Amino acid sequence: MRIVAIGSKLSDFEVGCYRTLMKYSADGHAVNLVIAGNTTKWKEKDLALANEKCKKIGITKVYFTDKFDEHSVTQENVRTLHSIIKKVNPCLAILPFHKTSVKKREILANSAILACRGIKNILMYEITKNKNFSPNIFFTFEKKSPGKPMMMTSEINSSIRRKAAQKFSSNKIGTDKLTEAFESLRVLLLDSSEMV
Amino acid sequence: MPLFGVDKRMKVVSVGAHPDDIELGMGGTLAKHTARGDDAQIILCTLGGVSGDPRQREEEARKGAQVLGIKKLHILDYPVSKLNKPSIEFEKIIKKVVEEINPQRIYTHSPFDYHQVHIAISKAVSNGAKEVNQILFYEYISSTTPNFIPNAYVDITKYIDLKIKSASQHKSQSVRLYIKPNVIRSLANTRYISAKLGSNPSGLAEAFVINKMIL
Repeated sequence: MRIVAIGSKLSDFEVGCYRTLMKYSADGHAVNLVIAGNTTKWKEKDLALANEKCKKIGITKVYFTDKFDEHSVTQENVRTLHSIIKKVNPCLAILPFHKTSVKKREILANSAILACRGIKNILMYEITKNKNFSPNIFFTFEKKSPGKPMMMTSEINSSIRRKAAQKFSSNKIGTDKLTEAFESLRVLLLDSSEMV
Repeated sequence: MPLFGVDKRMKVVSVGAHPDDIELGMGGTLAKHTARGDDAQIILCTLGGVSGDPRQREEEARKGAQVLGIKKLHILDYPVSKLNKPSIEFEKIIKKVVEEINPQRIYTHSPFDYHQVHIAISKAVSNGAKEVNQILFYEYISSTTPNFIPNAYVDITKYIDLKIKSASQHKSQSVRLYIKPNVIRSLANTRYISAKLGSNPSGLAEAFVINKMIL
C-alpha cells in the first residue's frame, strides 16, 4: 500500500514518525515523503543528498515543494500538496499535528488536511510537547531492535530519536517497548487497510 | 501486511448496557466482523431495568445477536440501579469476563453520553480492560453528546440490512424513535459522508472514538 508522510523538514519525520515509517517500509509498503518548505532556499547538492539518504533507508520517493507559503493557509499551498497527494494516491497520510502553537507547522498541518480530502486514513504526529495532543494510536517497537541505520539528517542523534519515541510511553503500553504515538484524524477500520 | 491490526482473524468483544445498545451502536460493524470470520462476542451488562420484561429482553437480545452471527453472548444481568455511577465492584466483574475472553479489541459505550449507565460502563471497561490493546467507543444515537467526535469509521454499506434486522428483534422497544430503520440509515449515511469515506451517495458507516489502539 502507498503511504505519504508530510513534514516541513527531514528532522520532523525523524522525531515524529521515523520508526513507524521504517516499519511500513520493511513490511513492503511504499513510503513517500513530502517536504513542504521553500526549497528554493535549498542548494541543489543538499536536495540530492537528502534524496539519496532517504532512498537508502527504504523511502520510495521524496517530494519537495517549492515556494510553500509558511505564513498562511493558501489555496496555492493546498493545491501544491494536493497535486502530490493525487499523484501518490495513498491509503494512509501521516501529517503534523494541527493544534500546535508553532505557527509554521500549524499552517502546514491545516493545508495538508485540506489537501488530503478523500484519503481514508489520516494520522497526526507531534514533535514537541503539546498539551493539546492526545495520542490514541501507538506503534510499539522492541527497545533492543537496532533498526536500520539512518540518518536522514545528521543533526538529530539517536538519543534524541529514542527520547522522542519514548515520550508517550505510559502504563498502557509498558516500559519494555519504544512507542511512537499518533492522534487519529480518521481511520477506516475493517477495510483493506486493517486486515486482509 | 495491513496498515493497522493483525494479519489474521481477530477476537473482538462488544460491551453494551442494555439489550439493544450494541445492535444500534455498532450492529453493522459486528456483522462485518463475523462475515470476515472474526470471533465476535457480546457482553450484555443488564437486561434493561424498567424498560421491559427481563425475560423478553433476554430473548430479544439472543435473537439480535443471532442475526449478527454472534456465537457467544455473555449476559451479566447486573442490577441497573447499581450502575448509576461508576462501580469498583462492576469493574472487577468486567475485568474477569474480559480476561476470560481475552479479546484483541473491545468496543464499548462512549463516555460522551448523557446516560449515566452508559458512562459507568464505559469507565468500567476502560479501567477494567487495561490489558486489552484496542478499545473503541461506539455512539448511541439517542444519548450521545456533541463531544463525541469520531476518529475511526467502519463502512457498513453492505451490512445495514443486518443491522436493521438485528435492531428490529427488540420488539419491546419498537415504539422508540431511534430504532426506526430510517433513523438508523440516516445516521449511518451522515457518518459516511462527513467522514469523506468515498463518493457513494448511499454509503453508510458507523463511527467510533478511539480510546487506544496499540499496534
